[in-house]
Amino acid sequence: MCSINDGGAEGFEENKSNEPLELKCRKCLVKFGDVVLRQKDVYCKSCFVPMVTHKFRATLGKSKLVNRGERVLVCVSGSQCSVALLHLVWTGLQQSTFKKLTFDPVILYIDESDLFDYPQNQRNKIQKVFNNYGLNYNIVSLAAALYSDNCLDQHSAVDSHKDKLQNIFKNISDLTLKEDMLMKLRKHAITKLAKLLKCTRILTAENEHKLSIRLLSNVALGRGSQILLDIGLVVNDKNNVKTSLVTIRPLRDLSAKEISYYVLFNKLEDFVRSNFLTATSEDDSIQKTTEQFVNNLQVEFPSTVSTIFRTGEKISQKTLTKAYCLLCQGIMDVDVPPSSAMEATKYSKYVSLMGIKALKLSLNDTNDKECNENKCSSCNCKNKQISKEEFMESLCYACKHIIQDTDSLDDLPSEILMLHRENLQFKKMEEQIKDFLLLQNVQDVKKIPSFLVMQIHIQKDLNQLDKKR
Amino acid sequence: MENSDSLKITTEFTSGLQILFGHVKKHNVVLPKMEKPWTLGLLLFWIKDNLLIEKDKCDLFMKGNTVRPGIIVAVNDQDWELLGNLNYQIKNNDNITFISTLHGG
Repeated sequence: MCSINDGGAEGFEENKSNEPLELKCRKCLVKFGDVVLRQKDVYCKSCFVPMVTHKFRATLGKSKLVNRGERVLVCVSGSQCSVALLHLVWTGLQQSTFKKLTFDPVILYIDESDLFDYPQNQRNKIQKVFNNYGLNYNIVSLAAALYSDNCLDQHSAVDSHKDKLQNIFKNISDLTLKEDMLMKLRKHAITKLAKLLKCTRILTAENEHKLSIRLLSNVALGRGSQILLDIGLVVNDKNNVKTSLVTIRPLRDLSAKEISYYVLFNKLEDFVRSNFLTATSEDDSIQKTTEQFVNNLQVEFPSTVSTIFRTGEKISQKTLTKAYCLLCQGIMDVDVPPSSAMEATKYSKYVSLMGIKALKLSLNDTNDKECNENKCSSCNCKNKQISKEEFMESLCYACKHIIQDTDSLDDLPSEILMLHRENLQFKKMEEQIKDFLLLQNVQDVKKIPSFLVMQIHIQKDLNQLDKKR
Repeated sequence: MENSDSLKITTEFTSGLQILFGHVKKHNVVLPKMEKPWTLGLLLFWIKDNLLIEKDKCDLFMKGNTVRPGIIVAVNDQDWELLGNLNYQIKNNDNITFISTLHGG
């Protein structure tokens, strides 16, 4: 409805606190209001709840991506937003036939109690809530989801997995990176579980507020190219829409306040949802500083969040080369021009590390040298262990920062490491058959049919034989 | 308390805020008799002195003389912006809810 766009169109309208608010609901004009939205619109309880439901359905309907009978993974963390999402989905299923949601929801709760102190009975309480809804649900611990192959089995939680997970975060000293890593691992776990549960759509519960904070902190973290992936309504895993995983964020048009009151009016119970930033000082991490910045602005300029949000929506990806970061699956900036910001940062870091010597050698020269040295030191154990430098090459700028801190790559989920090995092999193959390729610009060796590669290898062997003769 | 002038209210802290209050969501509170009428503004300071357990994390709950931006206050499920914000006079049996919209509390 048009009310969604109102916030953006107003621009920065200053808060007129002196003007007395209307006491009656602006929609029905009968009942006294209960909620004030955008600091001027008053709604009563009985008009407010349908409005939220309507916005939710409109966002979901707009995408037209959920087909009849499709299995949809609903990610519930226990936070207010996700509790609201669960209730909205459930209400949608109770509606009369022509309004009814027609997909088949599967609820997922990822238990992170290995990392944070939750009240003892939290898991049971959440289980009870899920039971009351009577929908299919799965409760999986994060460690099991990341490391175990049969993580849907309730008893698959092994201590070694737990240690691995805790190890990862022990090695990262910076709060900003810790939180970033957790987000990426969580995403990895959700994607994996969605595949296991044969779901093709994922619903997550981020609201407008959260997404605009994420937008700004992503820019600060150097994830600018991945904004669309992290805040978009529909995010595609791969290019083919029909068969691949699609993440949908149906609450993205609702403000934090709308959700809080939806939860309050429906008397829903929410749960403690910690992360690394819980109860930390505002100056300790980029995410928290951004949050504070947005919130403080929002108090005086009620359209802050929607302005950030609508601006972010217009940012789109212009690169066509598809290289994905191993860790976050985000698009990587390959083929950057020599004067890009990324190169500049690299160079400045390098100069500050090397001092005056750096000026004598150009960056590229030393880069090569460094690579060679690393290869020499790591070739002995290359078969088993993955060298960090090689791994870093297939990461995006922001993920490089995370991995830089960790001592060992062994604690990462095995799928990521597998993928890395595969990539390395392809790279090797590319190197081998490079001379035989007619198309110098073939970007992806993976796309060359395997029989061709075989042929090339045979050709190569024959050539060598010829030479010997 | 038998004193008719003291106010009996309940305060609720949800979506993460309860961490600051010893993981207890609902508190039944009796406000002592006072010469001035109890307003929300005064209640905030009273909460800070009497209910808040993690005293050093006070700035996660309050900022200046009001709540931290991002925390929503509702009195009997009604928005405090409709009731005059800090100047609202608390009545007997009011249920005052504090909801955090900040991630991770």
